[in-house]
Amino acid sequence: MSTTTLTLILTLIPLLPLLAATLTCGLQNGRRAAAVAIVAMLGSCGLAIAALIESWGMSEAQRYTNDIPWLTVGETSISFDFVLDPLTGVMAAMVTFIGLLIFIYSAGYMKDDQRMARFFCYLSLFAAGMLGLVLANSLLLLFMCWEIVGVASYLLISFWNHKPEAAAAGKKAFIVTRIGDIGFLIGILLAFKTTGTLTLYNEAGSGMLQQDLTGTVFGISVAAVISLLLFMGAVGKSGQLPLHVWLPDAMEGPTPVSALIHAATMVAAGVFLVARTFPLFEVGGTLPVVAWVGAITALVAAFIALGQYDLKRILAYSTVSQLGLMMVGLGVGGVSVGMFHLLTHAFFKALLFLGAGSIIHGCHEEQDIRKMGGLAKPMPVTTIAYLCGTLALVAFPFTSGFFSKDEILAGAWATNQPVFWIAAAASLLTALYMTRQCLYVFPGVHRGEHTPHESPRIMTVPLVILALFALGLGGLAKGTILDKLPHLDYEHTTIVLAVSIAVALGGIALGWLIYRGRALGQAADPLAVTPLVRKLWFDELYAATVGRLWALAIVIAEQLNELLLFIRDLAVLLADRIGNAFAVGGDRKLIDTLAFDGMCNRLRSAGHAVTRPQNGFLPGYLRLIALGAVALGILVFWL
Amino acid sequence: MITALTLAPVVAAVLMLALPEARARAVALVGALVSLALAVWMLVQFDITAAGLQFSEKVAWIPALGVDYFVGLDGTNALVLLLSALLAPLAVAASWQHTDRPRTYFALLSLLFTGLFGTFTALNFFHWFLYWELVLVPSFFLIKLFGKGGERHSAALNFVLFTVLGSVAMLIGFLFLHQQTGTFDFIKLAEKGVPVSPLIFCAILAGLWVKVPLAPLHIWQAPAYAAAPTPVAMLLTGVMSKMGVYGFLRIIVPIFPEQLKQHAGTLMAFALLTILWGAFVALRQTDLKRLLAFSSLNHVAYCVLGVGALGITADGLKVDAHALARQGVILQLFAHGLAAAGLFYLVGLLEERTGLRGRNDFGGLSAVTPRFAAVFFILTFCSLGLPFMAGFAAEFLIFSGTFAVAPGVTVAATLGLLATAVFLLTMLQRVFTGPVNEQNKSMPDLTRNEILILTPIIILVFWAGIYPATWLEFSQKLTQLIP
Repeated sequence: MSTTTLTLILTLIPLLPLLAATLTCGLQNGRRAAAVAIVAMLGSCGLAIAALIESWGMSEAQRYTNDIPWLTVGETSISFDFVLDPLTGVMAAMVTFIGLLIFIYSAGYMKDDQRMARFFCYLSLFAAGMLGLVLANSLLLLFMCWEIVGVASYLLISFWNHKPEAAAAGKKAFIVTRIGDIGFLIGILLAFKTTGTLTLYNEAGSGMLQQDLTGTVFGISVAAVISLLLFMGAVGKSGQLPLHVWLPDAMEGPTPVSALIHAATMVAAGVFLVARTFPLFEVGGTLPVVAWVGAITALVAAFIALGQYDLKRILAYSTVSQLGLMMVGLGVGGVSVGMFHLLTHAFFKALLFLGAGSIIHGCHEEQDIRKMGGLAKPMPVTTIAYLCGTLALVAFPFTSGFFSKDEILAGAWATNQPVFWIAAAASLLTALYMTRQCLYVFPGVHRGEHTPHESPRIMTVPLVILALFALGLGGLAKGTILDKLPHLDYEHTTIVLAVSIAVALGGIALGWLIYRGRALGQAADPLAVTPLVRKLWFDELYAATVGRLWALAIVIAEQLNELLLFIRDLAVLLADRIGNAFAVGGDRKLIDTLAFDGMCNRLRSAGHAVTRPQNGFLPGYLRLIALGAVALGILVFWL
Repeated sequence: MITALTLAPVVAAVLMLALPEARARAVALVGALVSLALAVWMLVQFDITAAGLQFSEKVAWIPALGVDYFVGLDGTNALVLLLSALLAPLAVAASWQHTDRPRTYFALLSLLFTGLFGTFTALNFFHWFLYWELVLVPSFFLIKLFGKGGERHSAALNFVLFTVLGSVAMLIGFLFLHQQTGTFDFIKLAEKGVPVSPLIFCAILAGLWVKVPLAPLHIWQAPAYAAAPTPVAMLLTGVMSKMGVYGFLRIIVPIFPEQLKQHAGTLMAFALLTILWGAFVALRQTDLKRLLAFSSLNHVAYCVLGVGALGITADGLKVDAHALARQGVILQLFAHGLAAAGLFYLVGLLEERTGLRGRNDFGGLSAVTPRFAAVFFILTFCSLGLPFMAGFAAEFLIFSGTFAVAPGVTVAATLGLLATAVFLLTMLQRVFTGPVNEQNKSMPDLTRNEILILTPIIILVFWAGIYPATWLEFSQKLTQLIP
């Protein structure tokens, strides 16, 4: 493929959905908007598959980059580039393919919504941002698209924003992820300062990831600091502990959104970021941090999932947990292991969410699993597809999830044994909570008020396609993906395989033993104990600590402002007093009374004294004249 | 050229006095549009490859004092002049429905435009200062006579007293400077590089400090913004808050480079204080206009952070920190001017339609007025620093410049980004989501005229975010000039 064609393809992949977003933002007609968005996505998907095929032919160190100058500031230039390598190719193909299926599904799911056109506008905006993020060869462009998907996620979570919970959840998602994003931003600034470029790879070999990073920050190597800061961003976006709290709340959004953004693609962006900047983590030696954070997240989230009754929230915690496993995969096995699980998970989790959407739709917007049950009969296609997704998620042998999780466990066994056991425990819990959920939902009699019904074909066909991938993808893709993406060396042992199969089957068996024959929905649930139902009090803990500190900062700022106003008033008062002193003491008393008025008064009284004789009284004048004449006479004659 | 641009609104104001009251608004609009046309024409003709002043006019005025009438355009003022020339007709258009004493109102508004244009183009302290003070007079009367609420009298008085006190200090500073150097010419002063006493520097700094404003001299700001009539508030936040930062770029950086180097740390510390102060106080505001005022305080302080970075040099940097910071500051002036003016306009529309402007007085407006909500969301997200909009490009440039020379302060300043997100999203949540408030159920959506006013703002917000190079090329050469 020629470079111009390739450049055109790479540019069009994110631009087509962007164009769709621009076109649909003014549309009123929902069906037309859906058509525009689906066609754009279809085009994007075709191009992404072409790019994937092209990238598959590349050797390991080879990658195609193109360079679009954006801004030159003084001596520094910043450019927006796209890169094509197997990592990009496979991610872009996955995003567009799953995106396409979910777009089609949404056309059915949202068909009665007044604002369907707006929904497809946001969805297309999201797809554009996500694809830009995947293709970006500039850390800045990646971050910019990262924020765009964040805002699309915000808009879509709070899509039904007449519900206060949806609006609150959207805001929470944006703010919690922004905490991580600030770390990410600082990481970018540090990397920019250290390397002088924001481009990841370039042909001259001077890209950010191609340079040898030297130097330290507070005695820690700069690569380690940058990688940890970038990882903060990944923790926020991928819902890792301690910033996972937004993801379960994000389930307030329409279910296709949960499937696309909060299961398959956007939340995986954090994992993708670590994969993209993997050389920094390797040089900085921070991979164990990634593995540990992932492992703890996987375990804690799996525990919480046990105590939830909301169909989508169980899946949300499951997503958090699986994202943790992907981080473990990156930390112990390298890019290929983490990315392999990301891909398989994208398919089976999208399947589970779309299945959940179909269930919720069929049960007349009911999400509480206690009010479900007996859905296997009225909803056969959904049930079978959902079970396929469940098997893949619990890593039932020879499903896609089995292959990818096996790699993670093998890597962990070889490099970090405690993490291996934590991941295995998380896998056991995964099988347990999924069995619990399925037993609540499918067998038995229906406990809801409405009669459940199967969803229309526009929704079930994507389910079937995803189900095929969830079962088959792992075996098919395993070899090639592990070959094409960077990979750490470790050996596979039979112990790992045995543990892997044992936890999957053991979890299912345990679930079966606990919930078999129970009066589900009426009797107490043995696993839904208070700490798990209350999600281990993370929200409450944050409200009591960070929330308090935050409130304190606000109060301090406000009080300081009040203090300033007080000082101003004091100054005014002082000026008033001084002015008054001058006015009263100086002006009135000294100048007016003493100097001016006093002088006038004296002048006037003097004048008064002088004028008194001149009163117009003739005998008086004569008397004075006579007196004067006598005085004159005396003067003349006697002296 | 520049003189014509500056004087067009005054001519309009004089004409207004001769014509009937009903014509006043049209005359004001024509005056402002003439200025805009001239500004656009000059920027189109602007030679981006040349380094020095362009379109300069210099006429000897008072030779005995070394005072010339001297105006000109370069990278420092090109963009901010365009911004003010753009917001001027928008402010007139935003006052189109104004019926209370229109002749007085529009004449004052036009006078204000002249003051702004003059401040941004004058290169001799003598008449620069006249314009600087001229701005105060019409804004004082506009707030006092046409403002809203009982607070307007004290707000106008506060505003004028604070700024005049700062200006007096600056005037004294410049008089001393004149005594030592014999010139008021900004360019000559920069070339001479005379050693000056720290007192002179502080006096001049004080004038700019109040104008920006930086904490703790900002307390005049929120009441003035809240009390001013909406179009005036648009100009206050959009353009007048840029005068202070422009003063830093025109006076402090070129004329006092040594002093800036010495005090860069202090300046950045106060900028940081202002950033956090503005953001955290904004979290507590329930009056939307006061909330936006504190948001403005926060955003303009990022500019001063960038100015501070210009005073710090470090060896062996791989990025051109000074150029990044300076370009960021210039773009931030433009970006914030647009977004903040737009947001004030929108809040003004809310107030006009409902008589309310409390953060908690509304709810569910996105269902009632979708177009209004869409524009409000876009401008809020620009304020919040969403990529591909003007605010992000500017803030990223500032941060990348300041981080290279002062990482600690920059990291602390990013906390402001988080707080900004919190208060802006809370505002969106309270006003636009949730159940629809009964009394606002029939609130009309944006009219065609209102959309017309907002369109240029929206276009520029995206343009400056997606391809900032168009706007930054005016100052590209400049950045390479100054040490």
